[in-house]
Amino acid sequence: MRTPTHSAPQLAAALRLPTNWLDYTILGIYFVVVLGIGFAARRSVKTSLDFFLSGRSLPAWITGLAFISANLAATEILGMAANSAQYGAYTVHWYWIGAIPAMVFLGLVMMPFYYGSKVRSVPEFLLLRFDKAAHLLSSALFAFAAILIAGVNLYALAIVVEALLGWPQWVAIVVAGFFVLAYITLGGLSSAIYNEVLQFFVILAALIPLSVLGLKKVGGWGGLTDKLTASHGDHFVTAWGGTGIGSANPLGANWLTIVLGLGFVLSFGYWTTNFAEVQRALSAKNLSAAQRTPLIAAYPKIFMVFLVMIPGLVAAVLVPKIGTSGSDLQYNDAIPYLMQELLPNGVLGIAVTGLLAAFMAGMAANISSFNTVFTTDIWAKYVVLGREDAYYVRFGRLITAVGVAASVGTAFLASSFSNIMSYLQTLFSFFNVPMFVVFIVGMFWKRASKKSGFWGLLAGTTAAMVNYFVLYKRDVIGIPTDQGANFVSAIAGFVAGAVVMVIVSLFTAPKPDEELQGLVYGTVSPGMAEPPAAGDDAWYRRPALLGWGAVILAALCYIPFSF
Amino acid sequence: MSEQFEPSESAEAAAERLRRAGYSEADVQREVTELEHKSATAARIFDLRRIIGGLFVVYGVIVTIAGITDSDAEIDKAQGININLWTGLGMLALGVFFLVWLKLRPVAPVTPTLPPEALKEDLPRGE
Repeated sequence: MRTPTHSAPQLAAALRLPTNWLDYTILGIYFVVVLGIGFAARRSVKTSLDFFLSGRSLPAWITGLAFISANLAATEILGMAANSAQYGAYTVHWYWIGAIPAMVFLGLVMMPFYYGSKVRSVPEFLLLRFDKAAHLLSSALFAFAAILIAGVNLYALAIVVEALLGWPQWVAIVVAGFFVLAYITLGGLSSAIYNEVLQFFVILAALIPLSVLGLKKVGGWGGLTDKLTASHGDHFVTAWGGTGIGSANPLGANWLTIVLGLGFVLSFGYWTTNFAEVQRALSAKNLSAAQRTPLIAAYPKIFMVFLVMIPGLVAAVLVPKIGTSGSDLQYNDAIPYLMQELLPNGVLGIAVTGLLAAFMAGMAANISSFNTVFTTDIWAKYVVLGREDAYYVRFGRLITAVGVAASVGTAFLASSFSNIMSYLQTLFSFFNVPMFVVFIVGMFWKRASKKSGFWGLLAGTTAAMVNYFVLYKRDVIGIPTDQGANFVSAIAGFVAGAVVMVIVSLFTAPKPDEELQGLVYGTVSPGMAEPPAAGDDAWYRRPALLGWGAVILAALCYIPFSF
Repeated sequence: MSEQFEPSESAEAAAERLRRAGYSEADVQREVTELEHKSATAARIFDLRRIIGGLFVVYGVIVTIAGITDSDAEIDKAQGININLWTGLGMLALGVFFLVWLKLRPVAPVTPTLPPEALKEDLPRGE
């Protein structure tokens, strides 16, 4: 069974929300606060490091919540609810195996190298570990992907706002683009991060009441699972049911592709090398805070799945034909549909604000990482070198405007997939997976040569694209769904990248040992030797404890969904 | 990779310019360390807890009042739960939590990495 694809993911027109002045007051207050944060953060920007990396000075709880928020965008909220309505409880894999291990790995293993080497971006690490070719290719790929994804967020925002509030799409795009542009050019990364933390709490205030009322409507968790088992079969409310190799399930993937493709390659690629995420950790005030950034984020991530999965599952009960030709509603409509059905004015305003905030923060995370990579990695290293620091701050502000304009232009590209999430996963498998393989080989294998980085990156990206666009899209190999194909493309990209890196390394000279200090596992850079700040030795701030605690908690969460 | 050289530029100036462009680990370490010393974020950024606390207290009050004045029709829509009231109280509690946290554990004054005259010109207002 192929996933039903719709020509354009327009939300059903019948979803217009009964908003009133109260809801608009709540939304208006939010916009004022967002701009206020931008203006207030402006005075903290003195150097390019302030603008692009908050001066490496933020506390761990702020960077940690921003880390989760940068991911908790439109893609997450609407896309994961859509995934749940379509595939059922398999959605938990995207969280418990598809996020937590990678976040913990980033915090415990990779962060000392990232933060300790004082690099300002993920591509800059590749410059130090490999060479200019790998650096330029990864910077260009990242800048391209960031603009595309910012465009996806903007497009999704426009269609949701049009359906829910009745604003024409261009109005929504202009308003959201303006606010993101304003607060990032004013306050740089600090105002992006502050707004993300604020958005985290608003979105919780929107999703918790929605999930509670949704559950009440279908007779609690027991009523929900009984009804879904009756209508969608036994496997719909389990995590692993029907994932044996060769057996059919709605996801179109077996346990091996879930564990390797999603849990290892896609997830590690996204969480450990996507600069939009890693940038939040690099802005932390010291190594301990940087390590704790993804670990603090891991705990809300474990439980966030319930807040997006429950509305998706409830929608699958209330509208059994959702996403098929038998209903006007598509999978992406799950949350807007429940908002319309269940929320009275007041909480409805909070929910609309939360959605808009999530869209804007998702776009802002990509724009604020794009302007950093474009300025420090491309412009300052290959185009206009060695100018005074203030010049790069001015250029960063200019390129922010260019980036926002470009993402408006790419917004229409998002229209060819019914499920926004698969679109993004597809992109991530093409851009992040090869980055991850280059990182993992480069960080753990001293022998990996300077040249191997570039070729590994190129081979991995090509292999993932060939697998997806040629082998899968032209039906050369039979994979039942887009998601299943993404997992396989990710594995193909990883293997191709790793093999090419090993071959190239064996035929080219290794990098001298003294140039690898602090970049390869087992070495120490001067930045890592800093003594811990006062208070960071408290037991609850120990990274190892936080990290392993999150892994164990995620494993325990699987138990009720496994039998 | 267009490292453009001005024709008039001396060889040493060009070498210096490229040295500063951060191609090696030592360059990056030095450049970022220099910038960290000049950075103003730690000294000048406002405390986010005040903003979260303030916004959620305002939201909490608005939504709680909406809950108190909700009609039966609105409560029926929300499955018989006065969701505005409960959400409003929850948001109010979160806002108060942040303000209390701010009160009890104010940020320790940052050891100024800025020269004193840079700090003097505009101290954070109301902090």
